[in-house]
Amino acid sequence: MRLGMIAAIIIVLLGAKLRVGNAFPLSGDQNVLPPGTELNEEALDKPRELFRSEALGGAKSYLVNLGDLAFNSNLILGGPARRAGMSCGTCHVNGAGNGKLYIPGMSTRPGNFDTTGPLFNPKAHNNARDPVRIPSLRGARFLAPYGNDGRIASLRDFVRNVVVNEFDGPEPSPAILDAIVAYIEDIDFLPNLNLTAGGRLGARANDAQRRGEALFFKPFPHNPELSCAACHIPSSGFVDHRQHSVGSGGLFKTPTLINANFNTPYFHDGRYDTYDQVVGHFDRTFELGLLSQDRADLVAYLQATGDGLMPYERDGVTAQLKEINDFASVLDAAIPAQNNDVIALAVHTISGELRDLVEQFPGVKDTTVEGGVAERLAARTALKNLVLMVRLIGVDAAAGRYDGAAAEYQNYRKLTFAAVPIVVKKAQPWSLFNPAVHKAHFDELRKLLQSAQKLP
Amino acid sequence: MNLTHPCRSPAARRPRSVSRWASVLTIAVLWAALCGMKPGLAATLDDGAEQYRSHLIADVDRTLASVRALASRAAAGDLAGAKQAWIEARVGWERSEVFTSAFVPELDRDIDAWPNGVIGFHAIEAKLFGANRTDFENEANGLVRNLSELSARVRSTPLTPQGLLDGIVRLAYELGESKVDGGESRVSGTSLNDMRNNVDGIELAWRTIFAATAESRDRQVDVGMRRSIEELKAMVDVGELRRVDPDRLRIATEELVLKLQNAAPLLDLKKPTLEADAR
Repeated sequence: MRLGMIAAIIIVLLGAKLRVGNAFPLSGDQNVLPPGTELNEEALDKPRELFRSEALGGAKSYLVNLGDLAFNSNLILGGPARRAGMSCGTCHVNGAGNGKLYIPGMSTRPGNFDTTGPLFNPKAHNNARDPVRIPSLRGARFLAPYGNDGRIASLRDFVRNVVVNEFDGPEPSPAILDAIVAYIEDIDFLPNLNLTAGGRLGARANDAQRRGEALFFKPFPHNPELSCAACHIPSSGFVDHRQHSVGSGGLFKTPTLINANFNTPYFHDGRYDTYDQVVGHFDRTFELGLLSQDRADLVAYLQATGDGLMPYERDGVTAQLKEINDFASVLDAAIPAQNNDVIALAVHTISGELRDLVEQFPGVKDTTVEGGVAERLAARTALKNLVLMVRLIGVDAAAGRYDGAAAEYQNYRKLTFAAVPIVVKKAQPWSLFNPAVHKAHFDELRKLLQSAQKLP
Repeated sequence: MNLTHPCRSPAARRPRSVSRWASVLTIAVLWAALCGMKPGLAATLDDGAEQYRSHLIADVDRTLASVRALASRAAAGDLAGAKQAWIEARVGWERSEVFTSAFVPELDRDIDAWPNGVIGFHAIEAKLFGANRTDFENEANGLVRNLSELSARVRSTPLTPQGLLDGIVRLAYELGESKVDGGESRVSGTSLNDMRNNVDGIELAWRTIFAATAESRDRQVDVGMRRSIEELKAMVDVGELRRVDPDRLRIATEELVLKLQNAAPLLDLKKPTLEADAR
């Protein structure tokens, strides 16, 4: 038991240490997205995605994998988002949020985004600058209603609204909508060792956290029917499934506090960066009369409730290939079923992911990387060959040659089972997954763009 | 009677008189056909490669002349003239990438390094277009040196059809890469020009080196290839980079690569590889 606890603490510490910010803005002014756009796609540490089905010892279903695939495909969206290669996963990285995403004209700060702004769907433009925080989708199955104002009861309807209205996408098929919902509902909260099953602090809590918990349950002095816990109900995922006015300019649904340490910024529009600012807001709005010690205790409590086990994981070959293999698994069913819509979606998305993976292994024109030329070129070749194999599956299927598509898919599976991972992992030390190589590459790019006065 | 197989009898191909030479040549051609060889094929592709060399030399020399002009205009403080020279220099350079990526990767790196703020086209681009500066004498001189070396190498390097087919395939694949960040020439805003010149380079190499042989063996292969190249040309024939449909472009380039790989056996070549040292 003690060993398990020590291991858990080490994992938490590792998770915290792993987090590295590597934001790099788009610098060209000829691209679809405005210059200065920050999608945070170069980050070395990605939010850890935990699936309920896998946590229970099973495997993700076809539907969940299809939903994951669609969620990470730009084909689901339309207009500029699609052309810019964005997907649901751009904002909700691995089903979590993206606190660094910033699009000039659409964001007022990193981590928020105007879903009714002019860029992505002019028809949805409401002529107001009203960005909303990008929420994490962890545990979304417990968190209805949906939208920051809780205006939509069904997750399925909410997803459709985002795709069609906010991002100008084509009407998704019922099967794709079901799949995306299945995927989102499979994303679990990260375990929190500080909390019991009923959402109360466990044995690990310190005095400050316990004092904070007591304050959390304490009725507000001028509104005794209210307390923090009255809306953020600990036994109910820290939500009450209702909308409230908390002095922030409207009615907004109660957000969960679970794993909230990793969901900055806070409030519906992301106006606050820290728990202390949030507590200060409630103190002012509801005249709580908190002492500085009370505020510190509440912050300590929120940090305990908002924690999560190993929130980030280092991106690398293993994680990337696993995701791509999970995506490819939909072809197990789609090719025999001659489902060309799913095959086309899979081919497009997988080949795109593979192309992105190729670029993690700098080619010979990248002078910032020393050594490993043969390994890098071998990795690039292996991955590019996979791109072409996947494309061939698509070509065969589109022409009705399903036997050919199936045979090519079997070849793809064989290669991705062992041969390609070996070659690609061998090159990883000289890839952008290596923090030193990553730094050298982006430092040089930054220097170049600074000399072009494109970056400060 | 000498029963030595004609293919293994070099003496048979060394006649002492013209009439004897002609008759032996005829016999040799027939024997060669019987041996499964395809007389004229290698010569056709090799001829095509040499024809391509003349275009390549013209492109590289034009690039070198433009970079020399770039250096002199920059030295004179002529910002607009220097920018124009840089843009003109890129035309021949991007067209010749079929050759550079496959035959001289080290020069390719030094001339077109990315990202690199010290050497090559893009170091100059950053200062010239980003900061409106012309103080890049060292960078321009370095580029002139490397392009001079390239100019010599395009004249002396044996141009193998295999290497050139590899080069076309690599360039076609690269063309489909994401330009969501503005592409390689993002500071000057000329990535779309790069793409158009890449397609021109692919078309030039295919038509000059491979089209005739492909057409003579399977007309549909050449027709399909030309159609794919025309499709690519139409895709990049738009007013600005943001109007290029990246998804369609990616599909089209990958399908072109597949077609080129499928065409290789028809041309008696190996399947083209996608990176320089991969074979």
